[in-house]
Amino acid sequence: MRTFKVAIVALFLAAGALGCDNSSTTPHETLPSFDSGSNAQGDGGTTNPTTDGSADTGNANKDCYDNPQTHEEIINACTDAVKVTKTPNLPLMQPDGSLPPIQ
Amino acid sequence: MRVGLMATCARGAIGAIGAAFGLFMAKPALALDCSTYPNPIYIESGDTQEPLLKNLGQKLRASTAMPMTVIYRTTGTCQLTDDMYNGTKITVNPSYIPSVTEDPNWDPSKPSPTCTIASGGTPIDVAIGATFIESCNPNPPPNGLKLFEGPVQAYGFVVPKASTQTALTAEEGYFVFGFGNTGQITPWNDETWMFVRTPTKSTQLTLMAALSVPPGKTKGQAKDKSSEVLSAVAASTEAEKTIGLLGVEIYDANRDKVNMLAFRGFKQKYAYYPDSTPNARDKKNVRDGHYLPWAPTVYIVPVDGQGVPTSARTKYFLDLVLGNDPTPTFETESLQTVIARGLIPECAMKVTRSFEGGNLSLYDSPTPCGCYYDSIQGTTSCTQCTNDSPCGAGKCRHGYCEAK
Repeated sequence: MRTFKVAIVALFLAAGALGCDNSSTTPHETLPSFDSGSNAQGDGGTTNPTTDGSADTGNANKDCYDNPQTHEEIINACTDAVKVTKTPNLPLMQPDGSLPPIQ
Repeated sequence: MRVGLMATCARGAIGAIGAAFGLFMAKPALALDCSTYPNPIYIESGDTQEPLLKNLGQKLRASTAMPMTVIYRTTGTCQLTDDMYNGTKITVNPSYIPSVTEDPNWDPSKPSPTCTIASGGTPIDVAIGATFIESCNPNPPPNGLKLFEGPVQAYGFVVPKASTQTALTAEEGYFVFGFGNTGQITPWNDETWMFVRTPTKSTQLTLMAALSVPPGKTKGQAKDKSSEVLSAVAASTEAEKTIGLLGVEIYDANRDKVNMLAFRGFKQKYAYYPDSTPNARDKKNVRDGHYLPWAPTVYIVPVDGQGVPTSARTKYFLDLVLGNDPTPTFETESLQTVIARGLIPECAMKVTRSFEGGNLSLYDSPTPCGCYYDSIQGTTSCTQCTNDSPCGAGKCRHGYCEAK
């Protein structure tokens, strides 16, 4: 799964519009499908993630939340709004992924 | 002798003509005393709310049900909070909304004229903050004042039209505005081209909360007014390096001048615009929680012991803004004015938060107006109604069947 996710990120990095910086930004109107490796859907709708058919998989195979309840689920809820993927270059980010204090 | 007399006459004639000409020339009119305007309501407000004040104020001047003259002064949210909490009067000549009779050529796109404030100042009837008042003063309001949450105000990061940038992540923003020149975030690594506000302004308070940057430590060129940020960004000669902080409704009125970046918050997977697309105006992502930098506007109002505004005029104005049904009935649907100015009535929100930059939780308004909101934006599948009959278990609100 992790390898698959890295592949998707790499796909967007390669396909995204590159500006003058090292980051990539890709606007797109559909979410990538996390099924058998295909990427964007053509209907502009929300993702239709494949699941194992169980009633509640905990969104393990989803890119978004269908029935958000918590803050993190709300901000990552499924939507047909335009969404922009960006992988910024952050040279000052701490090795553990935390942000350094502002002086 | 005759020549001298003729010269004198000529000079006299020229002088008379000049005097007559001067009489016919339009002289700058002396600003009238503010108190001479009918039913004045004195307001101190954040400048992001000026479009609403001008548009609603124009309707109030023309109203026969409840004619009112909106007289206002714009200042930072923290300043107006301090003024209201301490009973500070308006002593600087404020702006006012003219009637059609007074100025048939005025419309809300034009600057408002000013009037002369009474000697000694005039008390503020209502103060309008454009973010959580607790960000300025964490204490409860003094006795006799109450905070009413108004429509939601979103904020964003704007760039020049020529910029190729389309999105900002919270992590980038942290380094851009927290570290400035040393943040190493390309292309925003030159504070000369970063246009921010001061720590007392709601725009900065709300946007920096979204980035976890202390508002008093924000890097960039501080501008006192939203219009100054807009002008600086629009006129920049370094499009890629330029970025500014702006209220979304100011941006909405100036989309021909600047672009707004999509924003990705902490723990968020994608960046989103305030609207469903860069060209839409539906504020879909603010309403459902995908777009994070927003806060409610807050109305600070003098109230009685039951929490009811002590001034009938102020109560009426507040009812209009909140979408309550004022008495007497106003000639137009006031929520339409609110929505058209890029603000989101609380009744149309699907999420809420309790403090600046706080986590979102789901919100189910007791008096929803999502159908009406969607109808103003152009599309709704809701049933139109004039009473509850076609609404089944729901209720007819603002002309549409809502769930309750």
